[in-house]
Amino acid sequence: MWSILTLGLASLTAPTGTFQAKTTWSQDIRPIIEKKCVSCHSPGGPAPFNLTTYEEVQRRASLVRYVAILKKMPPTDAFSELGDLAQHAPLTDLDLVKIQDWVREGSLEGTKTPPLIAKPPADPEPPTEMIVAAGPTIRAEGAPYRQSFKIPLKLSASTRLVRFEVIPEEPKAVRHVLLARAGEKTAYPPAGLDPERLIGAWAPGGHAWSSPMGVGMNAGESLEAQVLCQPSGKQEPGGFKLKLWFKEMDGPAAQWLRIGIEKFMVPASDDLVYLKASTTLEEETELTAIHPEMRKYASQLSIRAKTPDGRERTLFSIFSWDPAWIGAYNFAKPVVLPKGTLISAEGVYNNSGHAFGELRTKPTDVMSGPGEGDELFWIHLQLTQP
Amino acid sequence: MITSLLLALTFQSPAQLPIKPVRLTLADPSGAKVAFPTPKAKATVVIFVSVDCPIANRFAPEIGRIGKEYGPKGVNLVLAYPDKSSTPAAVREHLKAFGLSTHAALDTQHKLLKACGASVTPHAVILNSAGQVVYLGRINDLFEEHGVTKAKVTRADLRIALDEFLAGSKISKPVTQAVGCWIGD
Repeated sequence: MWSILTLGLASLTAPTGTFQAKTTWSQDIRPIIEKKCVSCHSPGGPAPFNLTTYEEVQRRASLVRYVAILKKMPPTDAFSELGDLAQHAPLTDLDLVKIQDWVREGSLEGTKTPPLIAKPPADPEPPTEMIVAAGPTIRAEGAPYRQSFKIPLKLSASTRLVRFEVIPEEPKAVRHVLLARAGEKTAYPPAGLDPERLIGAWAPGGHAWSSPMGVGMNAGESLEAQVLCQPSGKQEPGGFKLKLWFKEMDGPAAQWLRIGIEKFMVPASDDLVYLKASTTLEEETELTAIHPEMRKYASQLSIRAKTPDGRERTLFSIFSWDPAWIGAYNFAKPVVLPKGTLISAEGVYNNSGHAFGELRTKPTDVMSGPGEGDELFWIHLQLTQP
Repeated sequence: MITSLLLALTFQSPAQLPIKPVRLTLADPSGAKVAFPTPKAKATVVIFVSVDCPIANRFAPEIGRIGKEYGPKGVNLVLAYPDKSSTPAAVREHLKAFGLSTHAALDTQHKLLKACGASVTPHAVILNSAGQVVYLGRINDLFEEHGVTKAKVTRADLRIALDEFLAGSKISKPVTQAVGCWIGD
């Protein structure tokens, strides 16, 4: 027993250099960057610089390590135990260890490798329509802001929209696009969007919104887009190409269910504020997407699903909420939730003196409301009940 | 909370201004010499920027306005490019893309960066005519931290410091915390 324990300790404490080769770009880091970074950090992509070659990444090794450790990049660390999200998986602990080791060991190149190339997912079939959505010009400066505009369609009969993809004219200036059915009033009131008209969300990174049963659209109906604009320092075009896939089908269409709290306060306090909302599914339900509406005082989101057999799992979580990168959370395959499943959402809000990087001397109470300085706690779940 | 603390530590500006005056010469994108401080100027404003730092780029309109408004008051504004990959052609292209007609200097050896005590882009510095750093910090408080911006700027720190300096009064906040992109080694 003693000798086994001694051997175990010896192997744990042995200098790793004795047994392991050093971490290199070609062997260890390139595969991580290829899988989780390059779809945005490549020429013409939404990111401000490229991460396609050893030289480009080595030059920013400290920054890469920093944003990785703080889970700032990839922009969202959303995760589900019940199904894969159609987006980049967050960095794993092993990825973080490799990045740490690589920087600490001098950011070695290893063998020469060709530049990485972004490979956006191929369309499953050609879109039914490809239209140009002419959005207003994005202003040059100031904080990120939202602008919405109508996109005329010529639908001669009722149909289902089952998939859409956005290709911004200037990818660096567009952080997020929501699509809704247009109406007399906007589908995006500032105190919370209209779940009855929402279709879906798109975010940079190369994944389309899709729903197997689609969202119903009536003849003559148009679309309304909401774009989260990121001023870049110069005026940028605010439009985008929109690929649409329509399909005629029977059966129930997907609908958004909203849970959350309309009126609340996040007091200025060193204590975190936990807001909770829940719903119980009355029928077996397929969940295809989640869209949180929270702002800058939000720091975390956790949605748990407790099935009637008593099992409770994480349906969705964001450990590090970033209001600048809201994300689009579409499941790669619908998540089937049995009748009687309890869905509980918990949003964590931080209105302390150190909520942001700089110590704020006088934090003030924050209320729910329509302003950018107010907060929201609305969680939208896109559901289909067969 | 841990994240906030780490950020605070990482982006904390130096608590004190550099004691030693700045006196050095760099090259502009055409190869011409650029002296720091600018000879005969009442004040030289140096703003460290990078061609691909989105945070610095978002200040381009304000940088342009400060250059134009304070030029007639004897202030020379120079953009300094500390990134090692800043080639003269890339800097010229950057100035053109963002419509900036300000002077520019390449600081790829980080001589000016170190002399001024700057660490991120954008980081703003005011040098007096003797080269003494009298202000080091942000342009304004638009960014609360990385990715978190205020709806409106509430303190235009660089403008306030310039106004106070030109009026001969004490600069009320000579050091402010700059949020920006790391400058590569």
